[in-house]
Amino acid sequence: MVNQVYRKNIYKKSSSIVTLFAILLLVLSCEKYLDMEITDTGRKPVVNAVFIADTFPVVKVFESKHILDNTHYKNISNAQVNIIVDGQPWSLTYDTIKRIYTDTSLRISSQSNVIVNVDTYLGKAEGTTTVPIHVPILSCDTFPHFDKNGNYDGVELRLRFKDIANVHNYYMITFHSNSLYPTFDAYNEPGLEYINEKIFLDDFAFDGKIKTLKFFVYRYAGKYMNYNGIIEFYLFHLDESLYKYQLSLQKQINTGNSPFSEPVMVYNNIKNGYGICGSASYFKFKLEL
Amino acid sequence: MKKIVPFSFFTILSLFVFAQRYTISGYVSDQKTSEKLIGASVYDTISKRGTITNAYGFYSLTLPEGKAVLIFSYVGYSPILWEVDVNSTINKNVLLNPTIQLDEIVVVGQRENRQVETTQMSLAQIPVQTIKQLPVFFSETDILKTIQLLPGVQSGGEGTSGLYVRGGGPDQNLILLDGVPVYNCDHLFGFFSVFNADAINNITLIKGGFPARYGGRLSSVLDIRMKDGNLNEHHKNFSIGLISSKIMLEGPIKKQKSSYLVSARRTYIDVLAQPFMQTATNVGTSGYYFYDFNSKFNYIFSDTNRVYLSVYVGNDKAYSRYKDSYYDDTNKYEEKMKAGIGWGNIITVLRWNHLFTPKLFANLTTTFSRYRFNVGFQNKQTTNSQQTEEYSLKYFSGIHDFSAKIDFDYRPKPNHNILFGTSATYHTFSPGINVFKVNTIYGDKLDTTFGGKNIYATEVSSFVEDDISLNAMFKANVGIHHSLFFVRNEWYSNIEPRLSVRYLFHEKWSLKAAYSIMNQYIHLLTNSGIGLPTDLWLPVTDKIKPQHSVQYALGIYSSIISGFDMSIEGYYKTMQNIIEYKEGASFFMQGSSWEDKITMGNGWAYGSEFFIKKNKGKTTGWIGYTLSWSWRKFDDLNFGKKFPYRYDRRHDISIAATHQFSERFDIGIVWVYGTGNSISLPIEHYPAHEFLIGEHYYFDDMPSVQYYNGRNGFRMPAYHRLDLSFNMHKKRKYYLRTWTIGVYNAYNRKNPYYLYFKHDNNQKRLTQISLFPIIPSFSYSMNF
Repeated sequence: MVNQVYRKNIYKKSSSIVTLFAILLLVLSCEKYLDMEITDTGRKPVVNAVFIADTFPVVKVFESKHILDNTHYKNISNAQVNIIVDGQPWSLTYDTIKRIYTDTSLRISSQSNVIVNVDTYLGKAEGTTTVPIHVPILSCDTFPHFDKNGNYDGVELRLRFKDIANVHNYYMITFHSNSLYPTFDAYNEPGLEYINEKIFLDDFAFDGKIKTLKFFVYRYAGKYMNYNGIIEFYLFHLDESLYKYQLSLQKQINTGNSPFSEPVMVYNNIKNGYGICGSASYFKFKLEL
Repeated sequence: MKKIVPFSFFTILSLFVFAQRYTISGYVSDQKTSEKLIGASVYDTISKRGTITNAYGFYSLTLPEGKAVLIFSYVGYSPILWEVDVNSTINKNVLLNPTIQLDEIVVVGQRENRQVETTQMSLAQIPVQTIKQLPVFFSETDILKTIQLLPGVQSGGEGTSGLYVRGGGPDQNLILLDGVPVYNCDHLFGFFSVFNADAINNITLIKGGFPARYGGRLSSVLDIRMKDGNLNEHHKNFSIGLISSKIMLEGPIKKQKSSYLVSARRTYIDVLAQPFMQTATNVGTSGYYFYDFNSKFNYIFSDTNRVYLSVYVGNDKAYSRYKDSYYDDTNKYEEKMKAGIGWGNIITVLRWNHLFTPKLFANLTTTFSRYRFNVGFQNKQTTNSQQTEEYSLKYFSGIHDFSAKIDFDYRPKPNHNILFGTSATYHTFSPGINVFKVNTIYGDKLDTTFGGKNIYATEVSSFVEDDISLNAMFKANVGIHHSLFFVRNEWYSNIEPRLSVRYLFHEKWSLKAAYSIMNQYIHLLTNSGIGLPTDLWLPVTDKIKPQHSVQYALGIYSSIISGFDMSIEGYYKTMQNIIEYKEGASFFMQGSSWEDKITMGNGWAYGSEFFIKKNKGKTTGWIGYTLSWSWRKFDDLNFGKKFPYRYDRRHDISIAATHQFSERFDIGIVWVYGTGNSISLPIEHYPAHEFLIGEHYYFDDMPSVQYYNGRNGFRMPAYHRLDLSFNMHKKRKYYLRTWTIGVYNAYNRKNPYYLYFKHDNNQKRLTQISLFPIIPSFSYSMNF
């Protein structure tokens, strides 16, 4: 009898503990969010050195940040930044207003080989590039454009340039207008990508040939806005590194951190650091409509 | 030379004399239900020759004239011993009785040495009874979730049904229901699979050493066979669970001549939630449900002719409806909105089994398989009951196949089992079609269809394989599979040699090796690992080449301890032309075709699998451990460098066990552990170079670069979970009732489902979302 009472008590206590445990677990399980840690491997120097043919050199140096660090980027102002242009060393000085390392007395010419050496408190970083030569825009012809029913609906622009033969070339084309709205209808073509209003071209499909790109200024744009105006086209001839960097960067920006987009790795050619050491030449073409 | 000629003559003569052989053939079935037993063993203890039944329970054994003692045996059944004088061709149908041990426990056992003896390696068969005893999510018996517990097979993550076999993707599994490919196996966004265990007879998984009869996928074959229906007596089974109910009916239409099986399941989350929805909002409602329906009919015309018809229909539907009305001084305005998302499969099979001779069994099959996903939206506005505006948008994608297949099972001698056949499939792919309609009283009218056009393809395959016993120790399965695929005026043709060998170096030890080449002509374009039904099945085209794999496997098998099967297998697999989304691409990306969103590359995987299975006794179950690596290399991804596959899992452990305390009470335990998935996560960030010309060298508002430590360079936390189930059975007057109480994630582990960066009070944090905490559940079933 005593045994039975004892057992009952034990059973009751056990039941209470089990019930309490179950309730506790259920309450705890409502917490669905959990903070995670990301291992911090330390900071690295960021070197953004893009050399444009026939302009003075500009190098920006920053400190990278841990992904969870939300503060402003820190500019490194006390770095030693040296460049070697075709074997000739140059020391760049820091412009405290523009926050860049530069030497306005120096012009980087096309086909120059440039090596960048940056020495910071985060360590030494290095990059190298060869400045591409100018590729001019040959013409930008205009044609009246008609819709399927034969009605005039705007102007078609045909931008032409000639690719340099037997060399692997990379281009980026941008276009701007203060009053018109030119459009570029991206189409499937090997080596062509159109992202964030920038056209990227790899010449493997038109090596040494004349390349024509079609733009449109539709009539409605002129009807409701100013139909006359100036369109500026920039044809950038990029070295391979800058092409890869720009293309991947624009893709990463384009994803907007959407969870449904595939991640994009941005190209990096800085030894012991992040950033880009690249170069370009450009040709500007103004079209008045 | 003089000696050799008479010797050869004598040998040939002897062969001729001793070649007086006769064939014993027939079907092996369950005595109670007459269900055909697939893979049952037929063994002659005198000649030491044996065979197994095929997928239709048929066996054929040719033996020398004289006395034979045949043992018919099968998993969980009492073996039958049959002595016979073999002096003519004999037709012998055998009925095996499920194991019944008075005063003891009914156990699910498996014949010893079976895995040691067969040529087939990388094979797993799990009895449906075991699957039913193991704990599952919301007490819903799930075949795919149990398959995920086997070594070499991984789940994608929390709750998903996708199978990742030996480093392969979820599209690389040939999942067959009665021999027909099933394209989408998920219900409820992957939390349940479409297979209703009540209607299933047999499940076989092959991970490597693929026999030539299978083709079309790189990584595995999951062959699921439905029950035929009881030929002797009517049976009913009802089951009520927390979120769904099931019913299964089976019985003879004409005893021993024809039978039926009908099984249906439906969830009722929508019905249960309806009152709460209506209280919360009086203008709209929404819900979700899924259902599936299996049926099978078969008719035995004679001992040599039998016809089967099976149908599967399953659908998921999530919907939302909204209705509102308002008035001004003179008019009444009404607005109705309907939105829905649905997906489902339809499968039909018509099959004719014919026995040409006791040695030649033929099977003619015609099938139809359809998977369809659709999204719909409709908005109607009326003024004084007169329609003023109507907008509707429909999106659908899917695949449907018509197929015909003939295959033969020829057993000329006990040491040869030759299978050969051919099949043709006509595929229609719908890669995302949109229908947009507008109709307004202002005269705006639009009815347009846009998006991907249907793609038509024809696939033809042929195979021949022979399971040869070279001697008592050596056995080999040699085969060749040929496939042809025609799409958009492009032909692809591939020859796939297959070889499996077994060396029985001890009665209870064997060594096996396998080599197989596989090709796959369809790709699954998937944008996440959660089994979203938006996944697109797409064919190879002139741009997208067939997937190709070569797999080598080596294993050692033992049943040295009575009641235990043990194996260690190693594999190395290469895969070519596998697809991934390009960097930055998205399923929702507009303006580009699917072919432009993807890129092709290669992959390779290797690893070892350790498996110990206990087949006998009160406690049965297994422990599996996999140590593996899975890599990918694409020119367009990760700058051409190799990277780990998202489901690269270094360690994967699973323990599954059932224990039968008594006839009335048994429990099931599952514990799983897996290294966390590899995902791409930025670990640092830095300012980007601003590409401006002129004097714009300031860095204010410059974009930021997210630095990833390579693609899939970040490991999520490890996944582990303990599930328990308690099954209480009681025999009532007319039925057996079973209460099942289950606990999913018993120690409430917060397993990672998704990681994201959360911005909170100007603080950035990496946050993990976990889906399922501890979830208790129950179900009640009655078996008549």
